[in-house]
Amino acid sequence: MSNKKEKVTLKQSLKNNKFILGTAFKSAPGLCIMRLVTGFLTGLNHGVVIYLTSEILNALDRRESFEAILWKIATMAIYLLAYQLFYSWHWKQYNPKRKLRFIRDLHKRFFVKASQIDLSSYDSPEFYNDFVYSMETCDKSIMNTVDTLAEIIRCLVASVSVFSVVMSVDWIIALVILGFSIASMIIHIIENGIWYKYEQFFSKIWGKDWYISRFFSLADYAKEVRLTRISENMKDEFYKNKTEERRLIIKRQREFLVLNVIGSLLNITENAFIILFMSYHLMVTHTILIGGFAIAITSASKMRGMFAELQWRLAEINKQSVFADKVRRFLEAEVKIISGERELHSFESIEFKNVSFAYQDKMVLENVSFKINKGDRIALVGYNGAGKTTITKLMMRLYDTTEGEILVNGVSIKEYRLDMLREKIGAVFQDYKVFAATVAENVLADVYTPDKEQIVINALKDSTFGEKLNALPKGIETELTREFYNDGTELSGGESQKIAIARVFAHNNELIVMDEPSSALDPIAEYNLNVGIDKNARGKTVVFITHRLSTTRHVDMIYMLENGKIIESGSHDALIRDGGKYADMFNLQASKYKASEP
Amino acid sequence: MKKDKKDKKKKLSFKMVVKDCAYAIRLVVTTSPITLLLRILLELINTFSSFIVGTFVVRYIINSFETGLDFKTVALSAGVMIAVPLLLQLIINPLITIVEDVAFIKVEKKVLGGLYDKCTEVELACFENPEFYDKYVKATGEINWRMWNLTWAVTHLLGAIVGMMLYGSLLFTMDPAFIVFAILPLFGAFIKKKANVLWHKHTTEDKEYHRRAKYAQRVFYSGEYAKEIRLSNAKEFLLQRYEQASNGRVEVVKKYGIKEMLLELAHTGLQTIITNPLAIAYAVWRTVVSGTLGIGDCAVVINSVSSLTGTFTQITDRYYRAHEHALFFEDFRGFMDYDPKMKDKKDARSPERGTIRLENVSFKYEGSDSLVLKNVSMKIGKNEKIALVGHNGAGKSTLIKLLLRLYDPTEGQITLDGTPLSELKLREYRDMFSVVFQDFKVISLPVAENVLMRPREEGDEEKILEALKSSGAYERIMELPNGIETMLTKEFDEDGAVLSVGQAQKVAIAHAFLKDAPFIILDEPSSALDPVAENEMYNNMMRAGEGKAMIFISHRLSSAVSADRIYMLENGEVIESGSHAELMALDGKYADMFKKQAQNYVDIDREEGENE
Repeated sequence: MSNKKEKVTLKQSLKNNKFILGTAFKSAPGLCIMRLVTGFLTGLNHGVVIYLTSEILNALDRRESFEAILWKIATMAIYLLAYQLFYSWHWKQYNPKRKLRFIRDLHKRFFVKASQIDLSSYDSPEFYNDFVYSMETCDKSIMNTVDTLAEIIRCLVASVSVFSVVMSVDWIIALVILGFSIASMIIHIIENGIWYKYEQFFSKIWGKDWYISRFFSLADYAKEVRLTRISENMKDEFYKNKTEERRLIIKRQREFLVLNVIGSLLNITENAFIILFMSYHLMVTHTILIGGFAIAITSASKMRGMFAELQWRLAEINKQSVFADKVRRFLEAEVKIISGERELHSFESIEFKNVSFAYQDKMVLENVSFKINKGDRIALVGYNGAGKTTITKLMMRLYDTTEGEILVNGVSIKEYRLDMLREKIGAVFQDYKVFAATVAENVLADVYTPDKEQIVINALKDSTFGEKLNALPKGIETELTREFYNDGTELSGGESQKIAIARVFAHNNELIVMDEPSSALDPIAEYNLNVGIDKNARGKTVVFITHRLSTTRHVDMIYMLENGKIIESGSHDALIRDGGKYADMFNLQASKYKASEP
Repeated sequence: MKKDKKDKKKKLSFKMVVKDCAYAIRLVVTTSPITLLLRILLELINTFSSFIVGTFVVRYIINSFETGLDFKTVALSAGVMIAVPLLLQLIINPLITIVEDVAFIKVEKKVLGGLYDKCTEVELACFENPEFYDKYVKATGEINWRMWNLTWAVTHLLGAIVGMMLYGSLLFTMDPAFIVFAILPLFGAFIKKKANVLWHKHTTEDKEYHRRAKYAQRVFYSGEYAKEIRLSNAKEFLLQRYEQASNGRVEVVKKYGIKEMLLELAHTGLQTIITNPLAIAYAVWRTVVSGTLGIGDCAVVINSVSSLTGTFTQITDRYYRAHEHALFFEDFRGFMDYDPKMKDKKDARSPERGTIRLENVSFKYEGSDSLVLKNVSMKIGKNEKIALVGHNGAGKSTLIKLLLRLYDPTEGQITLDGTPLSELKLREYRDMFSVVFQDFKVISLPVAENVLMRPREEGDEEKILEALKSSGAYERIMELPNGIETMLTKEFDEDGAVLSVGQAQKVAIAHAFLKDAPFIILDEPSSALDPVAENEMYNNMMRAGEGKAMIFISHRLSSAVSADRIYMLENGEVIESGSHAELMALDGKYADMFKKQAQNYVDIDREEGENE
């Protein structure tokens, strides 16, 4: 898959790079222009220094006066001072500051975009992997493209300026240097091709190396490593991997060998030719001066260096286009879930009408119909993977149905304003998350202002977090996680879950979704939590997803799902009486408690 | 005190740098002396040839031209002078190509192999103590490239020193006064040092803000938070925090930028704007005015003065680079020299199946003041079923770790048939246990090896299949394209299988079946499993424990009912113990907990009864 993507046509590559440069130039024109100017000047500098040096040498050769030569030296010093001033200013002042601002604005723009794209985009592993990687590195990579362009300019300008200085000395030698430089560039290109050919094999090996290194150095496996002999298997893998790497290296180096010898031979020939040719003209034909002689030798190695760099910089451009493509796909990702116009003021009912939902070509829900009225409490139960969580995601319009429709207050869910719809819903997800922020911000899921103190505290008390709250150093203003501050508080799984629940309690949502809200809690905490839920959800519409069937007995309606279909529905008592799958499941859980009851 | 230590660490003395470099280089030399030798040789030849071609021959030709030597003689000698170092390069370059990368592998095998052994050998505390972990274990991931970069930095340094000697002696033979110009840039080293200190401060301050900014990226770009972001206003404070962090970074640049710019200017300027022009002017004066310097010599000074003065800058640069890697090796060495605290005593005995007793065991984690376990006493007899129950954080998992001797108790002792654990052979003792952790991880190896958890032996296949059947994973595994040879996870193999939590758990239980150890420890997962899957897993676990001593951590008390003895923990203490019936009769905390959980199920049962 990735191999296919890496092979981008030249046209595409240019297009992609143009796109990235366009983005960069639009958001930070000053930064980009100055970067290119720096590339130009740095390139020019090579030629200027060689030229000024040769001027001094030639003046010496022409036996000019000491004063005259001194002026030339002073000119060079002043030029270098000016150049260095600019260079230091750009790299230590202008560029770092502008770059950071550029990164800031870029990410802010992308953050907003990221929060808008459809949730389903995250579910496609291909999109997701590309996306996370390219976004996290987008600042660096976009600047890299600008940098590469600047460096190419530098190489070109340097080559041209050095070439023209040598040209003014002797055109034959200039052409010879150019010829050798091109030859060595060709060798580099071939070498690069070999690298490239092997890279995909090596990246596999390195990936494995990386995993093995993590296996031993991360705490994740440390217990297993101490209790079993699995480390021997892994070490074995390590040795096997190294043997494979060795085999590949030997194979690759064999291909390099010939090129290497040719490269060295070219180097010898070029150096010998230039020195002999130039000393011949210096000593025998007297057509050149000492200055010319000296700079020809310096220039040769400079040109060769520039050409070598030029070729890998150009190769770089091609590589960057792969990344550029990813960024472009992200920015151009079409948002399918579009907000409607209709305002939603209160929530009266939600109805699923023959709803089907497919998820990456796999049917997750099939022909599901039900209706929830304001104040109802319903429970979704069933096996893992039966589609329970998907139903709640459809309610929040995190996805749109594949077939059928969802009606809110009798009107299609798609007609409502998305923000107003989601505002009405509070949810505790199975994979609840705590943000690196204060407790208060976490509970409010919004910016905290002191007037909301009581709301936060009450919500935390009801989610049975009260005891822990008293133990926190700064109360509700305590920082959670150590992401920002080293003295931040790390919560356990159960405590984090309580925070997530408090988030729902703190908002006056009309519809509450609780997806396994007590999975990380111990029995006592679970019991207390249920009391809290009862208190806070009074009069509200609540959807429970739970495996602990004891919690389902008080709800108005239970929907039992299997393979995306509702197979049973009714009150607890009715379902038990019917003796279907729900009753089986319930009895299975209850049996252990029943048996022990004296 | 701690801070002092840290500061000291950041500024390694010259002696320490040498020591650390020597350590790293010894790692390379002892495995592949030829690599280092070739590297040094190449470095010397490179320095030598650029000196000859760029400077020495130029001087020779110009001087010969001035003295009117015959072209043929000059051409011949110049040709020989160039040919020798270049031919040497021609030989050594391919040699390096062939030898070096292969030697890399050899060295990596040895060094990483040793490192991995060390990671296996040190006690678990090294992984769970964040300070130790961050400093030593985590850093080891860098060893690979660090080792080579340090080796190269040192060989480059060597090259620079030789270069300095070559250019220096050439200058000295022309005119000892030139040494002044060569020494002048040395002041640049002081400036460089200052700049480095400043840069270090800069990056340290920036790192903090950068880390914070990175956090916002992770939240927005990774899918984990996507739902919350879409349903709440959390975006607002996250953006606020991101902005603060980003602006913090700009402030850091503002704070240091000007100073850095001036230092850089002073550092490079000293060489290019002051030393070089002065040296050139002096040479020109000697040639043009006093007439005491040959025009060839003068030309050499003008043309290659930057190589002359540059070697000094190179030396300091390379030293700092070596220094940076030395900092890392200081830690690496610390880790490799670390003496594991849990080692077998000389007269350690082989353990035998028996009764484990905890006698007044207390425990606290290193660096922590609070006891995680307080005065815990417990007995685990042959074939007994023991349940540990209690709130989250009551100390159940820690107790298991002590039992497995992943930690030693702070006070009290644990004995096996009266022998303290410290007198038993550690490896063999741990081998008596099969453990299924709640947070157990699938390893990116074939299914077979995930079940075995040891290297393969003859006749394993049957055992694996048997174990998979017992744990109930057999059918699912056999559906996989390569059966038990199927690679798990997609880490290495696009076609690798990704198992659900329930399936993965079954594979872990299969390991317990296969190992057939006298003690079995099960940490019941509290994650959401549907009731049918949960029941199945419970039954599997119980079957794995048949005929063995079994300790299980139970979250749903229903599974504790059948235990021979239940220990209820609270805040690190055993507050109640006994069989289910005994504890229910006691009517304490366990009974309360059980009733609360059972309430709904049992009530229903009664209602049903009444209805009938």
